[in-house]
Amino acid sequence: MEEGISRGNEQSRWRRWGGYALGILIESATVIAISLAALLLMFLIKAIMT
Amino acid sequence: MKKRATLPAFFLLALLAVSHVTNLFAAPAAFANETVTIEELVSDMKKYDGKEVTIEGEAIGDVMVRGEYAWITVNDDAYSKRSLEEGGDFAGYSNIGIGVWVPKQYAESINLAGGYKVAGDHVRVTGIFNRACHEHGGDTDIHADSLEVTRSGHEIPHGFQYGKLLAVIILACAIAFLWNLRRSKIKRGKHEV
Amino acid sequence: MIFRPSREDMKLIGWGIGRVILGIGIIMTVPLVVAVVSTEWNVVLDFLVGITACVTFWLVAENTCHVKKDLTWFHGLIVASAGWLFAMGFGAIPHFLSGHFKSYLDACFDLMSGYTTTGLYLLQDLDHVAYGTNMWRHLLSYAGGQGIIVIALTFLFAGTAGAFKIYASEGKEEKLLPNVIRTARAIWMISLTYLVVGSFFLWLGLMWGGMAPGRGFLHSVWLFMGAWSTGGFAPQSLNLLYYHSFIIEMITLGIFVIGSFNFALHYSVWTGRRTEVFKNIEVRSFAITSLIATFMLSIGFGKMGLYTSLTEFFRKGFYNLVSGHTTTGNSTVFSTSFFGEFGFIAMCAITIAMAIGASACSTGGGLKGLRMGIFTKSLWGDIRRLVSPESSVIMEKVHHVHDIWLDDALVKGTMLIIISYVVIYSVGGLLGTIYGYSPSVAFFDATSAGSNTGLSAGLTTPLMPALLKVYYIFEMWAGRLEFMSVFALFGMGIALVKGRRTGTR
Repeated sequence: MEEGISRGNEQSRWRRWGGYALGILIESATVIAISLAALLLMFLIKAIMT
Repeated sequence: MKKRATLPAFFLLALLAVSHVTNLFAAPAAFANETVTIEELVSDMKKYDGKEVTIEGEAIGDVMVRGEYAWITVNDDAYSKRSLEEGGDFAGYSNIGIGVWVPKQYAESINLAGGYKVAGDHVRVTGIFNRACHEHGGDTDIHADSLEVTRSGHEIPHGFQYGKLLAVIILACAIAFLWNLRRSKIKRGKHEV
Repeated sequence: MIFRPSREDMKLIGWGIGRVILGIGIIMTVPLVVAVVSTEWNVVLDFLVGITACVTFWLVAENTCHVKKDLTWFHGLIVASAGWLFAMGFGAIPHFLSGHFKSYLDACFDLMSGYTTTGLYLLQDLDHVAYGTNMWRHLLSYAGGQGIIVIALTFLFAGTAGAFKIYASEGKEEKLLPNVIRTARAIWMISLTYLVVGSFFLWLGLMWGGMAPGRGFLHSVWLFMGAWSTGGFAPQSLNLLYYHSFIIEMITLGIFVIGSFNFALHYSVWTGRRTEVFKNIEVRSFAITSLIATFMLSIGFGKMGLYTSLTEFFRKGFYNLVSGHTTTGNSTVFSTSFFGEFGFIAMCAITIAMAIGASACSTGGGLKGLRMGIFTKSLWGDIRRLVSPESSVIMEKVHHVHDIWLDDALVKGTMLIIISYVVIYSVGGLLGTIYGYSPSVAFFDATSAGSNTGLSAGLTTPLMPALLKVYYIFEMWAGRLEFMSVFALFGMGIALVKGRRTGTR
C-alpha cells in the first residue's frame, strides 16, 4: 500500500489494481467451489432418494 | 446399520412424492371461467397447480422480452385499482403479483407498465398456473394462453406539494441562523484564546 | 459502584451523535440527485426536508454540546448505539413523507431494517414507489452494511483519537490498517470496487434478460446494493422472482456470499495473502455449515417432492438457503412458499442457517462464523482435555488472518454473545406465538429479524401488532451491534437513575 518513489508509482499502481482484480477472481472462485460442492451434494441426495 | 433402514424409507417417500406430482399434472382445467385473485392462488397453490386460471390486474414494472415469449408481472391488489400515488388507501400489505409468461405478440399489446409515474394497463390473462414451473427453474408462474388489455393505463398526476416546500424553507432559515451562531462562537473562542 | 454520567459526558455523546446525523444528511444527497434526474419533484422535496432536518440537528448539537474532551470507550459505545437510533429517526423522514407508510413507526422499522441490512419491510405498494425513494432504501442498506459509523469516520471524525472507540462499538473490532480512519477508507475502497464490478455484470444480465438500459442500470445498482450489503432489498415486491433469470440469480448469489465475508479477509486476499481464503476459519465454517444445511434442505425437498430437477434444487433451494445463511434475504419464491412448498425440514434448515449467519466484521448478521468456529473448537478442546492425561496442556487455536489461541476469556465472551442471540431469537419467536402465529412462522421471522436476514414467512406485514414491530426493531438493532454497545446504553440508563454523582470521571 505504501507509495513508492515517483518513478515506480505508475507500475505499482498497476500492480496494486492487478492484485485487487486477482483478489476478486479468487473470492469468486471460492463461491463457485462452494456452490459446486453443494450441487454435488444435492445431486447425490437426489440420486439416493429417488 | 441405521442407513440401511432409512434408505428404503426415503426411496418409498420419494416414489410417493413423484407419483403425487405426476398426478397433479394430469388434472383437468377447471377455473378458467371465473377470475381468481392472485392472493388465493398463492395461498393455496396445491389446489390450482397445473390448472387453467384467469387473473385480472395491472401490468407492473417491465415487459421483459425473451425470444418468442416475454415475462410480465401482473398485480391484482388494492393498489392496482388505485395506487398510493393516486391517493389510494393503505391496504395493509405490499403488493400481490405474479409473473406471467406470455407469447411476445400479446406482450406487445401492453403499452404502459405501472410504476411511480404511470398506472399500468389492466390485463386479463388466462393460462396454466404452475406451483413450481419445471420449464423455468421452479418459479411460481402462469403460462398465458390468452391476454387482453381490458383498460389502458394512464399517467398519474403528481401535484406540487407546497407544504413540504414551506418546511424546507423554514428549516433552511434555521440552518442559516445556527450556522451564524456557530461561526460567531468559534470567533469568540479564538478571541478569548 | 457505578458513576452517574456527568453533564460533560452527555454533551460529548450529543456531539458525536450530531456528527453521525450529519453523515446521514450527506448520504441523502445521492437519492436527491436520482430524484432530480428522474424529475420526481415531490420526492426531491422529501429529501430536501430530510437533509435540512439532519443539518439542523447537527448544528444544534455543535452549538450546545461542544466540549474539549476526547471520547472514551464508554462514549464510543453510547454514540454507536444511540447514534443508530437517532439515525433511524432522521432517516425515516423522507420515507414517511413519500406517503407509502401507514405510520412513522413503520417508516422507522424500514429504516432500521435497511441500516442493519435486514431487509424486512413494511412499505406499502412498493411497485409504485419512486426511483428516488427506492434509491434511498437500497443506499441506506449499502451504507449500513459498511457501518454508519464507518461512514461518519471516513468524512467527519478525522483526527479524533477516540475514533477507534466508536468504530469498534459498531460490532467491528478489526483494524485492517493501524489507523482507524484508513481502515474505514479501505472498507469503502473494497465496497466501491465491488459496486462497480458487480453492478456492471448485473446490468449486462438485466439487459440480456429484456430490460431497458436505463431501468436496467438503476435495477442493477439497487440489486447490487441489496445483495452486497446482505440486506436483501429489491426494487420490486416480487424480489428476485421478478426477474425470472438464472444469470441474475447466480450473480447476486456470488455478490452476497462475497459480501458476507469479513473485510479483513478481503483486505488480506487483495493485498497479496491469497491463501488466506482457504485457511480462514470463517470461510471454512461457512462452507461446512452451508453444506450441512444443504444436506438437510435436500432431504426436505426430496420428501416434499415438489421440486424435482437439480436446477430447481439449486435455484429454489440452495439460493434461498445461502441467502438466509449470509443473512441476505433475497428470495426467489413467494413468502408463503417457505411454509407451503418447502416443508418443515427445509424451513428448519434455513432457520438454522439464518441463526448462524455470516462473518464477523462483514455486512452480515447472525451469530457469525467466527463465533461458531471458536465455539466448536473450544468444545473440541474440552473433549480432548477429558481424554488426555491430567498433566498435559491442551490449547486450541483458530485461524483468522492470524492464529488466535483460545483462552477462557475469549470463549466466555463468545458464549455470552451466542447466548444473547439465542435469547432474542427465542423471545421473538415466543412473542409471535403468543400473538397467535404458527410457531414455525413466528420463529422463522424472529430469527430472520435478529440475525438481520430479512426472509419472511409471512408474519412481517404492516398489520402485525405494534409491539412486535418495536420488538423486531430492537432485535435488528441489538443483533447488528452485537449487544455490547446496547448493554452499554442500558448501563448508562441505569447509571443515570441509580449511579453515584461524582465530580470527576
